[in-house]
Amino acid sequence: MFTILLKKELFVEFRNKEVVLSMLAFGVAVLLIFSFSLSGDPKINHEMAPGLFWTLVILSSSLGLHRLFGQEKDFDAFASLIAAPIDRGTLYLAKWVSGIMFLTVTEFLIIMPFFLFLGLSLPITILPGIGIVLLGNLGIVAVGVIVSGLAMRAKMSAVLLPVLLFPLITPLLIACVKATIGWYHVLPFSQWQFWLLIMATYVVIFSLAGYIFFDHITEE
Amino acid sequence: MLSVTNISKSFHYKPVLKNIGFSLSPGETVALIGKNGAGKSTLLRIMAKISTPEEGQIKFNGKNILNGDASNRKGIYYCGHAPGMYPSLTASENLYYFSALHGYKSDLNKINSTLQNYDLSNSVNVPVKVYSQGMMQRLKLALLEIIDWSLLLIDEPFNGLDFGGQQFVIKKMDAWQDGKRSIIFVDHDIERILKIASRVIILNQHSIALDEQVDSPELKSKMKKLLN
Amino acid sequence: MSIQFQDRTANNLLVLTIILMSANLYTIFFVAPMVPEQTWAQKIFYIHVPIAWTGFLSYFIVMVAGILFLLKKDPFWDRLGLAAAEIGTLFIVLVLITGPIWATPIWGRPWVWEPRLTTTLILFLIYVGYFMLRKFGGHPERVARYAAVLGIMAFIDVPLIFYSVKFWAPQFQLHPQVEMGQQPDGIFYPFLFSMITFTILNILMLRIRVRILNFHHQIITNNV
Repeated sequence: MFTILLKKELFVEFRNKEVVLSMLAFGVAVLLIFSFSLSGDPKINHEMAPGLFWTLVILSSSLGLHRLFGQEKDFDAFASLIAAPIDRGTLYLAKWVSGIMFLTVTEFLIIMPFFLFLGLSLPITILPGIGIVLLGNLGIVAVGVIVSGLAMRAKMSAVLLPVLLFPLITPLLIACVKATIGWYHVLPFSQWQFWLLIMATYVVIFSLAGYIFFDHITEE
Repeated sequence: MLSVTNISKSFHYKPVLKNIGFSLSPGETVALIGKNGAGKSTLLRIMAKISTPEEGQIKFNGKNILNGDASNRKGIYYCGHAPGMYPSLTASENLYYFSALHGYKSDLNKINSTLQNYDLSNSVNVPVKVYSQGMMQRLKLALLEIIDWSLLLIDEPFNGLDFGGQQFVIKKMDAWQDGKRSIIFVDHDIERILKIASRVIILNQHSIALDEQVDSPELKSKMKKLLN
Repeated sequence: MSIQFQDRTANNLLVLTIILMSANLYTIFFVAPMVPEQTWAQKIFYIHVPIAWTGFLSYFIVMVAGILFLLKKDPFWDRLGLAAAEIGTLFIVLVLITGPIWATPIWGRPWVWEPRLTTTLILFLIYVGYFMLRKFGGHPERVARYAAVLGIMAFIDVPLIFYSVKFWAPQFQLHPQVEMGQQPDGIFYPFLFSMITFTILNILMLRIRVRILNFHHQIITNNV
């Protein structure tokens, strides 16, 4: 059932490209703001790059998460979806995994302009960076799907979502930025391995919370 | 087959349903009627586990569906007011995914022949968001041919259909009722209800005001009295 | 059902709280010794720490009430959760006010990204979202479930926030780390007394607020 749900999520997104496109367009717009509002000094940009990157990711992910249930809300397909005999936890897992994929694709598309516009030097190693970003995505979407579900039926859901998401995600953001600094600024691993632990704990706790609680936030 | 006990639900502290209870045997076609706001749609949505009641239990084939395992709900199909389909997918894609989500492996041949039977073959390749209300209604019903259901919860199946469409749905509902299945439908046309249903449940003042077989005497006058 | 306006337990508790709180304030101002370098500034800790404790205790109650509401569906737990959330937020705001009052003379500036203070701030912001969800989330029967989930998530986020902030800015480990048990009796006992007093105040407020919410519910559902 999980595979068919995931396939459906990916197919609907493939047809609309709504989540990825909204995150990407917004991300590029934010990048433009970054480029003009910072000093333009590559050295300072290099210092700030990890923080800027995660700011960009979290700002645009809040937009994408808002549209995560968008296609289901318009024609009340969500009612048909939850009326089907599917475990709600599985529903959450499918939303989680597909959301991670959408976010990763967006990041993949935005990382080149990010380096280019801010005049950043390329990192020495690539793989640890990919690992950190993936782990961060797992956490952002784990809590993001829950918050998106909470806000979905609310008035002002577009405001409610970031208001709920940003404080809940603070520990993850701190850990993501710190780990990225460790990797991008080539600090010894022992200095930043702790942050990977925080990220992993966050991912485990909130994906479990989502799996358990999603049943309570799907119904009207 | 289905037993509903003590269901209560309120919105904004206003009760919509109070202590609703009834049970259903296979082969029954039940018309659920009542004035606007009597809670008909809410009751259907609770039975489909789209809406959570504050109190009460529902058992389907002896298994708890409100708290139990999701597979306990297999065989129930809900068809609401809204299209309930993915607007950007085509008819066959929607049917494919929804039948799969109900746990049926469906082949495209069957989907295509069903769409043909339901007079939708001309618009198979367009997203369903451009469908008219009548086409959408036929699409929702087409899914019933593909999945193997035993309890149908259908909210105003005749809404927005022209005369031909209404006749079509009446015919289909008659054909689906093979004696092993149950259908609960919401409607307000008394003549039509008496033609289709085997049993009538009227909701009034948030509770069941009448629950009788269609052949019971003076049903029509009682219905008229309760609905006016 | 008729409304029982008299609540003798609450009345007794109110009298007890008034007596205890007066004694508490007297002890803080006139009995507890001055700490040499901090003089009067240190006195705020007899209030700051107990209200922080009651604030976090209230949020813990929100979580427990949330779990019980999701399990039992009894609206009482929802009202307890809401009452605890309101009282907790009130206390947390007071923590965020008294903290900088103490920090200004001692640390030289009002705001420092110190782990406990930061955790308190973030928790406060989560609860701003909590009340927005309560207000804008739709009809109250559904929002009750949503709020329960959010209350649980907020509290399980606390240790993560605390440890991440703690290691994020290790230079800000300025919070007095001394164990209260190692303090001389002159400080420890007034402190303990204050903790107990504020806990009782918290229980009293919770009881009164839950009763008001119960009445409110009875009135709008016309059950009176």
